[in-house]
Amino acid sequence: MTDTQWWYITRATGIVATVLAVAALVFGFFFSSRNTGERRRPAWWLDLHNWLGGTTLVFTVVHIVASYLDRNSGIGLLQVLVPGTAKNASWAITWGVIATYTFAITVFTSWPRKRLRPRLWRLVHLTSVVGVALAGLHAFQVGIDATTLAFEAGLAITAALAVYALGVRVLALLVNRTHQG
Amino acid sequence: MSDRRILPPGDPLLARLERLERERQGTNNRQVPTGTSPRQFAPPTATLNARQYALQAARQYAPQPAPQPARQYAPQPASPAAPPASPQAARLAALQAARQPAGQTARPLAGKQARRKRPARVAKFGALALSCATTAGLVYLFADINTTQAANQALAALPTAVPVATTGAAPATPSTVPATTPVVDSATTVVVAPTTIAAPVVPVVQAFNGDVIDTRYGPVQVQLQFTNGGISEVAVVAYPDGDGTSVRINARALPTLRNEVLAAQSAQINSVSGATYTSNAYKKSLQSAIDQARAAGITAIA
Repeated sequence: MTDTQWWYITRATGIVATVLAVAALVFGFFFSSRNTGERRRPAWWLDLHNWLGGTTLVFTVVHIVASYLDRNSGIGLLQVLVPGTAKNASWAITWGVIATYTFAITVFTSWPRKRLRPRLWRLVHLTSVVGVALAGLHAFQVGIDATTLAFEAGLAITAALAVYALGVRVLALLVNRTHQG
Repeated sequence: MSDRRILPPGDPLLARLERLERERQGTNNRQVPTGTSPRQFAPPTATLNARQYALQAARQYAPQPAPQPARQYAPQPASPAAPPASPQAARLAALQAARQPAGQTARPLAGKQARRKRPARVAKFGALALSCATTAGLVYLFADINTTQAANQALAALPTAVPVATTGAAPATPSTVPATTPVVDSATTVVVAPTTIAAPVVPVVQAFNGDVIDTRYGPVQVQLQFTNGGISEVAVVAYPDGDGTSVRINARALPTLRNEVLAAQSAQINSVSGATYTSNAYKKSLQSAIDQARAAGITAIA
């Protein structure tokens, strides 16, 4: 495959991974705030949430591998693993590397969840929210498609969905505390 | 034995139950309570393992008819810690324990039970398929956009048409432009008269627009530019550019046709493979421009 084709795959998987991450985030917020409706059981939402999270990590890894294989991107092993080492678009790639780490931590701590303390697991799991935000920032700053209207509209819609789900979750948390207090 | 009442004849479970019964009587005879009525079922002792307890429960509740075949029940593990909630549950546990050899785990779930275990199976694979399809579609879109951009750049590099006094079929009034005036862009041939000559011969560029030839993909119109009686440039006034495919085709075809015209100095050129409609319309428009040039007095055309 040519560098140009790897570049296309990098862009495509980056966009899909961002959408999947936002979808996992939204489903997770709806599930944890008990706003999943009556049509599906909570286990269904949890199952889908876990799957979307894992798929997000897979597409993120493909995104990284494709950018590594594209020799024109200037991304090497050091830039992939260590934040702040990229020469071009240093900050944007830094956000992407950190977001990848948060996704990986979130996924890999969900499997041995029962062995972790609930508070610690929840704290680690919530870092994925920061990861999604950083992934969106990464796409906005480094993506060549960020200048297109379709990409900006899609990014705005996904961001609005994520903020809405976050609002629902925070509201549910406040309501629960009010009832308990 | 009472087990025969709930199991059909020939069921392999019967032989397993009988074997387990023999083992129980031979090893743990003192630890299994016997002689009790079905409603006086005693909870298991600490030394009674799950299989023995399940077998005991099955034998005690055997007189009651089994509502469904044993294969349709979910394989719930029999726990010796608490007695079953109902006689039906006890029968289920007994059948399951008897079917499951010692040291082996439960069989993999299937059908409805599997859906309960993996509730969002359809949605998950749908999401995965959608993600892969979206990725492939985006890759194709990016490649298409990139190719179209390259084609647009190639078309933009083609020579542009110069203004003519009359267009269309009127043959008599071609535009006559001194070569020193900057009406022809840098891509066209512009000969500047040397200043040292006292009476310079100022070459002129004469432009003739060919007819507009409609194709199913859009109109094609060619402009011929003559310098010193020969074809010095061929510009394309109009070509099909309504979609990306037409742009890509014409970005390849139009430069080829232009080079052929400049080389042949006539309309006797070959069509470009894969651009038949554009080629034919190009040649027709070119021929009409040549006809106009001949009518205007340019006769050095083949």
